[in-house]
Amino acid sequence: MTALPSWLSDWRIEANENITRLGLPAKSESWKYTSLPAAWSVEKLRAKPGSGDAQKFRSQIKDAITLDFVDGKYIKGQLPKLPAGVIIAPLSQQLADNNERVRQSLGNSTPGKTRSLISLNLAEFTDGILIYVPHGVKLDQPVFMHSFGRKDSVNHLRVLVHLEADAEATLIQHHTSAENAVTNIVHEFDLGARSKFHHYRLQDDDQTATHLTFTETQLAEGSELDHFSLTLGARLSRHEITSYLNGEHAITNVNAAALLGGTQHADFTSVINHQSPHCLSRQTVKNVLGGKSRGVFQGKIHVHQIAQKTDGYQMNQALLLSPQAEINAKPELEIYADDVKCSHGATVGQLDDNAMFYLRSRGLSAELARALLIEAFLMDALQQISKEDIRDIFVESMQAKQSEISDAAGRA
Amino acid sequence: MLSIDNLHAAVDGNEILKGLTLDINPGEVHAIMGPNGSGKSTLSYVLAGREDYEVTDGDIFYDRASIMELAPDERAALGIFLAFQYPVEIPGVATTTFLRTALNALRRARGEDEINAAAFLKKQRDVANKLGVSDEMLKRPINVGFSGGEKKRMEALQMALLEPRMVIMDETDSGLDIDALRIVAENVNRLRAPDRSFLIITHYQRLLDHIKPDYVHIMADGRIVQSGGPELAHKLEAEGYAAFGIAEKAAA
Ligand SMILES: Nc1ncnc2c1ncn2[C@@H]1O[C@H](COP(=O)(O)OP(=O)(O)O)[C@@H](O)[C@H]1O
Ligand SMILES: [Mg+2]
Repeated sequence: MTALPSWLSDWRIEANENITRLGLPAKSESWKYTSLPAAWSVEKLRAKPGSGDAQKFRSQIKDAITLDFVDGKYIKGQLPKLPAGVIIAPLSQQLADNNERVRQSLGNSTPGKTRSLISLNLAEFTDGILIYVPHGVKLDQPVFMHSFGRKDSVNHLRVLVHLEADAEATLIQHHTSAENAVTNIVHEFDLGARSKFHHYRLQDDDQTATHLTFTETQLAEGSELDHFSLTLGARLSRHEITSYLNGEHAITNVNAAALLGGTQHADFTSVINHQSPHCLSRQTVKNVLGGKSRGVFQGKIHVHQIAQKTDGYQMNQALLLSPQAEINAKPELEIYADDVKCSHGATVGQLDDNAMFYLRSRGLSAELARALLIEAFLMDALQQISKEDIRDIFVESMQAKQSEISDAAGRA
Repeated sequence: MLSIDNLHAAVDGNEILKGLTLDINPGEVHAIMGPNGSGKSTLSYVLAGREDYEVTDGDIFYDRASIMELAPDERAALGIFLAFQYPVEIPGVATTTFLRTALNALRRARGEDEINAAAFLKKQRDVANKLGVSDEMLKRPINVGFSGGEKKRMEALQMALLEPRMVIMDETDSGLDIDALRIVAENVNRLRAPDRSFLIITHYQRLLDHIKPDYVHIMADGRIVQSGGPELAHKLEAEGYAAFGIAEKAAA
């Protein structure tokens, strides 16, 4: 990035000091089941371009506002005329213009002082997106971000979303990075009163890639986050997602699904902070695990004393397709208010023999029957994506991954 | 068409079928009646190729070739169909999606072209109408929330749609009221053909009033103990299993 605003240069100096102090994440309560490769250092994770060709990619969503990134840099997009006051722009451009909004949103909700990967992102991000939607504006067109890191690249991206009161927007992210690419993306969402934000992530990186994600959302009164992550790619991935329910009647939906095979490891760690009365949180997290893959779900619901009438629900379900696959689930309810409704549940199962036999007795091959049952298991999570054209993209990618896993299982 | 020769089968090491022999020629309708626990469902599962049932002796021939090594879907492709006593509920898979997937899987396995969406829907509607199955039921996940009778109708619908050559019906009549029973029986009678055979497992004479079997077999303790014509079913109805020297266990 050329000509950084001086405030950012200052912040970066501070961020680098934090990184030096903190080092990369080590084993801790939060990093209980996941660790970065021992050989990795901060220096290895500094932003760097990769090699090879950039992938050709086209969004399948009609009329979407698109922004394409290669090796952590905006390269092209489709940015139609937007309603007055709306900003949807590459972060690099906004920084070059020294837009005050960037400074206001950046680092607002990410306590990078205690988390080195967020500090690293602050020190290193090369680009990202700024979405700003003024009061009462509801954006019909979704924003579609495609990010491709070339072979061996290290991508640091920052996505800032600020919705004013009664605004609405949708962001879809599709990641398809190449071999050994590393992505470290940080999202900061600031949702004004009664605003509504839909966030759908599809992580379909190469099976050798690494993908680290942080999502921090501040929710004002009556606002709603509607989040869905689908993890298909990367050898190692971790998504740490935190919602702060700051105003009454705010709603956070933090849903996720993963379909893994081989030696993939995917960690979904969520923290829902109920810090205001009458808020609602909903979580459905599903893992389908084949091969020697491992899924991690850590879900914490923290109900502060003030947060009476909290309604919290969390469900974690895993389907193990092979005896070597593993799920580590750690639900955690920390409740300091006395008038709340919180529940959580977890199931771990295998494909039902009765269902397999029933389907096969009707002529479905083992692969087809398995695919249908896996799809059925995941579908009820994917249903959370209310818009059909968006859901279709996720379903198609899921099906493609599904047949890969089945092929591998068939050969085993 | 189907020839079962001295079949022995075990589950979890317990022998349940103990030397069962039965021959069914093309176009014939056979009924098997037997007390609870005599092994009727086990027989149906073994014929359909369920893997957790271990065949310890004997053989099963279909069109004169042993099917012992074939998987359930391969047997289905040959035209074997089992209407389950307890149809399985499968959440998350719409019935109509499943039916189309099944029909196309069978067609592919038989070297036929897949059926297109419009033709499939027409075919599905035809059989659904005949069996009194509503569109709404077809949209629901497979058997989920269906009443006992609805599940049995759905089995009958699948049978009509998939057009098998060897149909095994395991207590399709239980759970059906008189009207539904008549509808299902009419469906079977409509499907009777010179190259299609039926093996009807039932407890009750009443189904056999609607579907006239060519042969009736009485089964007890994993074997066929007596075979004859429809008169056997009447005798059973009138005199109970005691007339065949079978002590009936309490209903399971
Ligand atoms: N999966 C199973 N595991 C153990 N025993 C079984 C199993 N299935 C059936 N059996 C036993 O096998 C016998 C025959 O059962 P079944 O074939 O269901 O009889 P029927 O259909 O004639 O009532 C019964 O004693 C039953 O308890
Ligand atoms: Mg039975």
